[in-house]
Amino acid sequence: MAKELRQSMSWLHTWAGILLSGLIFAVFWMGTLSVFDREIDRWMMPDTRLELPKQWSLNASLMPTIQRLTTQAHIRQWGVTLPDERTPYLRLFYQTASGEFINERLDVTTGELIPDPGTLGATGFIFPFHYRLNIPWAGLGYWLVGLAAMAMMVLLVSGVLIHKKIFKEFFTFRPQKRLQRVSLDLHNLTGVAALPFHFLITLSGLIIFSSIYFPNAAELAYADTRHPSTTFFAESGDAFQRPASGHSTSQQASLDDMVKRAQSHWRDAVGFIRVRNVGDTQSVVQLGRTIKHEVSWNIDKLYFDAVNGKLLHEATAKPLMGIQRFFVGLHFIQFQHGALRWLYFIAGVGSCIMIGTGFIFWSQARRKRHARQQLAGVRIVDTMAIGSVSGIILATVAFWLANRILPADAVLASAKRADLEVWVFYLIWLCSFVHAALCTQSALKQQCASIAVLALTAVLANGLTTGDSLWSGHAPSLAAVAGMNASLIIGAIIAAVIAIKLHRRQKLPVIATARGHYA
Amino acid sequence: MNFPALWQNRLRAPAQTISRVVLAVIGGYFLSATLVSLAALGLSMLGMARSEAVISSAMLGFLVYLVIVLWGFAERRFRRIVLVLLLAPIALQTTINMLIDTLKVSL
Repeated sequence: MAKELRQSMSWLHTWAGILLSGLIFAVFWMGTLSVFDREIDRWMMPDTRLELPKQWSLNASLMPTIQRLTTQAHIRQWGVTLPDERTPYLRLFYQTASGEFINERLDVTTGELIPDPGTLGATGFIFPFHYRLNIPWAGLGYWLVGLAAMAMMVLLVSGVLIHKKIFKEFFTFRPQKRLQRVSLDLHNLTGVAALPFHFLITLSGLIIFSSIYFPNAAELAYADTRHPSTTFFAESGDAFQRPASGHSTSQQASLDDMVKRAQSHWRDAVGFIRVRNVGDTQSVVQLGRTIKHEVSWNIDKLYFDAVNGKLLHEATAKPLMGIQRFFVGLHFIQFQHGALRWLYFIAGVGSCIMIGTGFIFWSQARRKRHARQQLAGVRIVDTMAIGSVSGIILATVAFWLANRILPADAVLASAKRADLEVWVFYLIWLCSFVHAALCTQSALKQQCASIAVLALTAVLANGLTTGDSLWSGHAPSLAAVAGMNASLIIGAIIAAVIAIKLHRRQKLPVIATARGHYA
Repeated sequence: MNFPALWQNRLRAPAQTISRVVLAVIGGYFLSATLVSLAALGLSMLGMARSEAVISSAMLGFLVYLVIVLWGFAERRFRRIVLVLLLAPIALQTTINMLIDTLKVSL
């Protein structure tokens, strides 16, 4: 029975791995980068490398701009996320009378809008790619990522079950052995060392979108209400809303006062402000508590009457919602903890190595046999693996390089600069698959070498285009910019070492006879 | 080779493998989704706040789905797989549709 189970799990692990690891790698790669999405944003958007003043007032720095926008565009509602150490500007959104949502960045010191950075950056491209692959059609991206996440959990459990001596194998690493051994050891090492991380990051990712993946639960439990899912969201979020009266007023209670009251109520900072029914007598100000100071992503909110400043409602999470918010916070890492953030990043890199070495082991174990029997399996899998591992890394580095060298007013076939960067990403990614299909033998080596060259060029280009030298930026964003440069240089060195090792290996005659491990 | 022999020798195994994958992944999803819905309704009837019932069932749903998928690949008796991953979701979904109709009447 145990042997049978191991066999079926081994089959499942192999096939789920071969078919879905490319997709899983894309999600994990983009997720790992998203750990530092704000820092990457500072690097990609030099205009936002700003100094955050110690003291500033909402009434003074924000309200004139809001008032100007309100009179110009007749906005219905607006909201701001307050600046912090990782994001040194106000993030403003507003909804115009026609229902359109517009996002802007606001300099806290001057109160002025920061000009369009001409890029989606990491928060606008890499992060959404992580959870929806940037496929807008019918929510397909969300479902593909959900499939990848479920496959990841299946792979983790089946991977643990097929090992008889998982504890011993955890301490086994033989870098001098054949590539097949090395890749298997590295696969097991990264897999087991960060097993709780792999599992929890995947599960919590699914839990974030549980209402997308299990929409029917609310439909049934709220079947006796008119709008089941809307009612569910309102109840679970403890939201407060009231309709506009239609009478306008110019009276406005002080935002700074409301913020002060909220701060003393929570003994914590305010994270965002949202105003609905702007200019109406029934206008509501909603203050949200910051999510910086604890793991859990709280939903604490205070609702004030915008005209007279009276407290209308306090929102908090119920106990089980609190557990859900803990998982959400665990995944989003919006809490401030530099060391933990780096651990997340390292564990994410570990996931990427586990997925990549899984591919290498599969094809190394079958290389000889498939060549002898003239099977195309290894060639096809190698092509897909190279395109989806080194290919997406190369495309990402090209995306960063494009960000630094495209001119500010670049336009091509009505695509603006921000779109062109995205085009570069997809074009290079597509080319990496073609390249891998045409020269499967040397594609990995050549792509690693290209990653090294492009990454170093990106660091140089950053220095040349922004005037910020290698290790220095504008003081407040110094850590972000230097960290990005350092990561690019370290990444380039690792890629170069891999390329050189692969080059030497190819020149050696193969002596050992390949013996399939499983198949 | 006549068809029964062809089926037995060449087609049966791959056909079973493909249906096993489809049943485990898609049938397994519908089985867990219907179980999540029924758990949400059941818990709220037992007195849990409705939003709490929905959230907790949905969170556990992913683990339920995981176990169902693994079982779908580990179980050797193919008939049992069809029973659990095809017939059970259909039966549960029919029950849910009837429940929704009953609940909507009181609206």
